[in-house]
Amino acid sequence: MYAIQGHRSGAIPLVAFPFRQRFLRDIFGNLFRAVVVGPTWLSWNAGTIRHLAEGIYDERAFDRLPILGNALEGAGCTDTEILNHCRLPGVHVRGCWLIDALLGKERPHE
Amino acid sequence: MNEAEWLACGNPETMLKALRERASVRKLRLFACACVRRIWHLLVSPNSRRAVEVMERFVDGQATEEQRIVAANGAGVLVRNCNARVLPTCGSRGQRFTASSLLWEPSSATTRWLGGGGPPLLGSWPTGSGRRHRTRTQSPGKGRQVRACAPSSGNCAVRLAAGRLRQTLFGRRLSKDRGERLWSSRWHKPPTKSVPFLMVLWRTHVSGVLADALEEAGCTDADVLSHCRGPGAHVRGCWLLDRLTGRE
Repeated sequence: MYAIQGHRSGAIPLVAFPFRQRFLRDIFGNLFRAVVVGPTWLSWNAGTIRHLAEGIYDERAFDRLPILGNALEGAGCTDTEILNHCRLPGVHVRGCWLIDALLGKERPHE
Repeated sequence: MNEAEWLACGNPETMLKALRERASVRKLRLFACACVRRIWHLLVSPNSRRAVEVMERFVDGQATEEQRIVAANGAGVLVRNCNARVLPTCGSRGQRFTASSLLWEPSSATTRWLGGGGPPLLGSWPTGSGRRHRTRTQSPGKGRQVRACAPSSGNCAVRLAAGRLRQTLFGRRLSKDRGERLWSSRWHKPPTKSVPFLMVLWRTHVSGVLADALEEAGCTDADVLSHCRGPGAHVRGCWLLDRLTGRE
């Protein structure tokens, strides 16, 4: 009943919300490709990357991801998938594969 | 499923099926939390929000099992009593299911997606004796279904809260003839059914403005006025709002 009224009044668009799919992409990343965190990234510039990632995770501050992208590039990251993930606009939620990999929370698909 | 199919896949349910073997519990829980956070503004009870926050701490080991169970029970009261109504029209049906499965029903919707008895996401089925609650679920495609929920945990506080909520939803003493009187009385304006109107009505209802307006229009029904003004849990789907908007 609510759904029908919502559709009629235009409060709900008829197409389904694509958010679940975006969340899944953000949380699980590419299932078929393991994320390789470079051994020197975390210690680069007195642990800048680690602090940034922790801040983003704890404060849910996903608008800082482009800064993290710049830092990663400075630390010698050349992985386009990681850099694009930081820089391209997209939906980011807690559990994001890149932040989890950097913080060593877990591998995305183990 | 191979890499190209995964990258091109646009259907979240297919994606979840592909994840069945690979996803960790932590990631799945965070996914459910993200889905609920998306409809955060529609959660009317602090219990629902607390459950998500506790879950997010729990996955990182910052909350204990007891805290998780308490939060799940608190949120479960709402889900049991008004199920689809607390999480109303916004989002897809799957999102609502995710939300309710995160908060209460771990083994139904989410594991149906994942195809098998996975671990519970936030709640676990309560143990102990208690009478069975029957919950009405509305699913747009299939009409109304009546689904039996798990027995209540036997926790007194939870039961009291559930009773209070049920009273708000269905108006325990609202007899049929009072409903009709309300319906035909002269102060009642013709029902406006649009969702934005309902949202406005909802806010005024909660803040007590509605009671003043009704009184001004000539309403003298003590039950109606005290319901608007009195303390207590108000949820979307409340009997008075449903009457006024001609829903039930």
